[in-house]
Amino acid sequence: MKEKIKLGIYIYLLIFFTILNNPYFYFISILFLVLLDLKFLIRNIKRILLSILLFNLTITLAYAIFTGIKSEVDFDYIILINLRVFLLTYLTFFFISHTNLFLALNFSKNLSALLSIALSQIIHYNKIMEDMKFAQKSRVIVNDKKLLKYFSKAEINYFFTKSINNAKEAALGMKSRGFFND
Amino acid sequence: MIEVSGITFSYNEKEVLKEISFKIEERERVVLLGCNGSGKSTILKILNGLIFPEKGKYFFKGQSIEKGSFKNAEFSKNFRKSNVMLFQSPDVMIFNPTCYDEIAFGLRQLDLPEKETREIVLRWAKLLEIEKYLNIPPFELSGGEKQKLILACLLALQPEVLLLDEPMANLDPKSQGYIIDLLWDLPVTSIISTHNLSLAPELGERAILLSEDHKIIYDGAIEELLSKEELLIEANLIHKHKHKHRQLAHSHYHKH
Repeated sequence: MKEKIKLGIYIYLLIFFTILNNPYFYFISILFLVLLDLKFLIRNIKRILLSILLFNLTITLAYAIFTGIKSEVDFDYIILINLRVFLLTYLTFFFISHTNLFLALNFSKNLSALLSIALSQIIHYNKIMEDMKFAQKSRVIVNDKKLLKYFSKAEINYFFTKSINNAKEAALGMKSRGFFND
Repeated sequence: MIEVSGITFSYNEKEVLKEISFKIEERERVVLLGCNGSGKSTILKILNGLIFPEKGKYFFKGQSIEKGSFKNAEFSKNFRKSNVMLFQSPDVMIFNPTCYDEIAFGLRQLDLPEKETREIVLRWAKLLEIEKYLNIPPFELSGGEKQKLILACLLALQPEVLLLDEPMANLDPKSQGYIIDLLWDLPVTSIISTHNLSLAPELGERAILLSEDHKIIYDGAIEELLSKEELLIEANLIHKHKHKHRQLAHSHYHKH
């Protein structure tokens, strides 16, 4: 029950923070989350910043260039958007690390199955990705940036083919266990 | 040639190697035995200079191997050429458009003339019975064929040390026999991991056995280890199951 309450609070806060347009409130909320678990901040800040970097940078630059042409740059708005994305991402990471998602979603057979499949694929791909990096390191005799093109092509090709095959296998596995019939 | 002294390693705060020490002489053939998760692959990755122990030292040809060692381009080149590793899943080692390019990948980095590269590629492809696949993409091969392809890639470099992580896992019995014969004749130091006790004596003369709690519990002649049932039970390498001899059903430990 506790985990479901956490899920409820998380969804409520997501909606609340999305509707709200107050950078001071965002800032205080971030500070509150940080104080709730300081160790979490230290362990995850790099990951959180990396995950929003591309999005925030694109939005901020596009907005600044567009409004800059008209000489109407609204810095308050830029701060608001960046703080909102940071808060929502921080909240999501915080929720995931402090909640047993399996217990939180066990009210729905479909959501539980979806979570199990997604997690097993993430763990599996993570392991493959790590081994791929090691294999590349192991087979590179002379450091040459040109070799990167081999690796990126091979990675894209491998993960694309693997995802399709895994999705087909997972669907067959689910069908075999009576999850669906078509 | 190889010396490992008191190494400890953890993944995500979970210790996977505890105080591991051993020495391996040139041309020795060592089999690294242990059940799944005992730390065999981690040892091989350390020996291949891919990860570095938190505690303890690793010496290769008398030189201490540390992260910083690879900043020296000459050292890195010599190490990567002479110390090669076959991963458990050959898929992660493949990144070229054709099998020919895959075998030539390492040789081209050594700036060998294309004619010489071609000769070496053809020789190893023939030895590993994969010549007919040279012009097709490696991703189209079966698991066993990929395993042979990667072995050809590594052997083409004429390494001094061969680290093989479960090399027989994807191979059919005929290919297993072929690879065992091939490895037997190679003038290399080999360290081969497996949990297959019936194959182990074919892969080397010396065994290093890891326990489930990631420590070395045996280091010595492989034949002797196979007679030490209590050690094999401790390492979770033999199992008990019921079976029948005509009408008589009984249960005992099996090494297969």
